[in-house]
Amino acid sequence: MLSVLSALGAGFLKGLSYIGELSELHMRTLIHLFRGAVERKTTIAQMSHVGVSSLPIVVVTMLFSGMVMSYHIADQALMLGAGAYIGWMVAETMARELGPALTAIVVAARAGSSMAAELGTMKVTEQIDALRTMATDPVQYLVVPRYLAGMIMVPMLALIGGLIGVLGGFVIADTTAGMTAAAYFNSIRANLELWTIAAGIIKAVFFGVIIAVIGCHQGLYTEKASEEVGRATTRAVVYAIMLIYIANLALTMVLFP
Amino acid sequence: MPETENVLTEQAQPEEIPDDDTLAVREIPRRDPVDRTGEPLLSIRDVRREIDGEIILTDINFDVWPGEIFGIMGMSGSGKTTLLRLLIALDRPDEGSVIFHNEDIARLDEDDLNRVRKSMGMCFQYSALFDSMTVGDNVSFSVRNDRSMSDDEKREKVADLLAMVEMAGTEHRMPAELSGGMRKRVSIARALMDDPELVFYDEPSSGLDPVMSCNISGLIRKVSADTGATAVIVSHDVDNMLGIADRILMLHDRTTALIGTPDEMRSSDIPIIRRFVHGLASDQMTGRCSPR
Ligand SMILES: Nc1ncnc2c1ncn2[C@@H]1O[C@H](COP(=O)(O)OP(=O)(O)OP(=O)(O)O)[C@@H](O)[C@H]1O
Ligand SMILES: [Mg+2]
Repeated sequence: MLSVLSALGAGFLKGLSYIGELSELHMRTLIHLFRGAVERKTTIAQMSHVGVSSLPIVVVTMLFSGMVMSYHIADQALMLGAGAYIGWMVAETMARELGPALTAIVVAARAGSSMAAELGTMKVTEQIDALRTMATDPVQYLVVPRYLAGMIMVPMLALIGGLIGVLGGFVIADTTAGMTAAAYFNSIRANLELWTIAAGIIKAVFFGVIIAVIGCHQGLYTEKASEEVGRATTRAVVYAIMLIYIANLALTMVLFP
Repeated sequence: MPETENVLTEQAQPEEIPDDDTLAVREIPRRDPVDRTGEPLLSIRDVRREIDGEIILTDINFDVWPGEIFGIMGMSGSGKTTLLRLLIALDRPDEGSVIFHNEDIARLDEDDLNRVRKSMGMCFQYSALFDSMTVGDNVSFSVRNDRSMSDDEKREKVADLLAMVEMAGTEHRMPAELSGGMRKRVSIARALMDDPELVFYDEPSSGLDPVMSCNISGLIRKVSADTGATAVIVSHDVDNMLGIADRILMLHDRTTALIGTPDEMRSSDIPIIRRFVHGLASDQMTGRCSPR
């Protein structure tokens, strides 16, 4: 009993110190950002890396999610005589929830893990130390570009993903419920509020930050052994996804009171 | 390019003996004697370093004067790399101070350290090249945001440095395509790019063939002669070290066994130094290497 308690206590403390490290890294990143110390070339490279590497899997994920959702919704909506709202219901769910959250999870798995792996390898092979000896702050040179890439690219991917999801939804609504394009898209135009889309984008910005900070932190704090890089990579994905779930709940409650 | 270099390339020009330049062991350039009357550039005072509660270094004291080539020798695992990391403030000592230009760099924060590190260069034991960048980008990394140099000047300097370490024309290759010794030489070029006042070399000649390792020693000496840069070299290549260093510190048993000139090293009767300098195996290991 006592050992369970002490294990819980130790776990709690470890969690606290982890949050502390994350906050410190985040603060240092923000300080560099506000000082305007941004390496343009690496930032653009990171943005295209995050975007290009994640886009295919985001597209596939969102396309099928949109189709499945539309299938379920069409079934129910037709039963309730609300068939005219199918398009809007798909779009609303995409904008509020699936667009940002699902995209973020996919990006965490794809780009967050590669951030941790890349920085972890640099740590193990002393490249981070080499940066420091060349008067370059690793946070400024490595974290800031990835932070910006996460913050900008995840919302963009979420937007594209949401759109793809809506299109996927239409394909199913069309084939199974005989919905016309005009009816499907008009119901979206008539009912979906701009704010809903904006709120989804705000969520995605936060998720992008979470992915980048956790991925970079795992990389920078990798211990100096090559098997540690693999562990850091796995942890980056798991922790990022957990934090995305928690942040999603909090943000949903704040943005949709 | 200084004169010695021109003489060498001219000699190498006849087509019949194309390998002349690589086969010839370079003459070690002459330098002015080091002036030890002024302020030391680097002063180490009572430094102690523990890792995970284990004492790695203790009671380390020495000074390095401007323009000096200072060697650090010691057995594998004696703490040479650990000491070098303290000198460039990658790690901080648990006790004591590392004074560079009258400033205790062990107590500076990272922002101030970045200012200090602009006048230092470091060549890592395992090269530590950035493997996402080409050789050229690696070498020019420290001046990438330097607006006082044009891109052409940067390219020219990179080419000169690469030629100096006999890696001319490799700008566009990736580090992964290079051998260990080639990476090492690129990392030396990288350390010299921003004209450092103080250069640290961690095992600059390990993994190199004897000719190249001798060339690197000559290069270090040449850089010091040309630019007046101070060098701290870690190496267990005793012959080269005795050949180029002005003074050498021998690390043993977590602390300094002796600091002295190469001649003082050769004539020392401290057992570990005798073993090292005269190439004798330690008692625990079997066999006995031929004495030098
Ligand atoms: N990060 C670390 N964690 C634990 N011990 C360490 C660490 N770094 C160095 N050590 C220990 O410190 C001692 C000195 O290591 P160091 O790398 O400085 O040796 P060295 O003199 O450079 O050896 P070599 O000639 O083989 O490069 C070793 O006993 C090593 O086990
Ligand atoms: Mg070493």
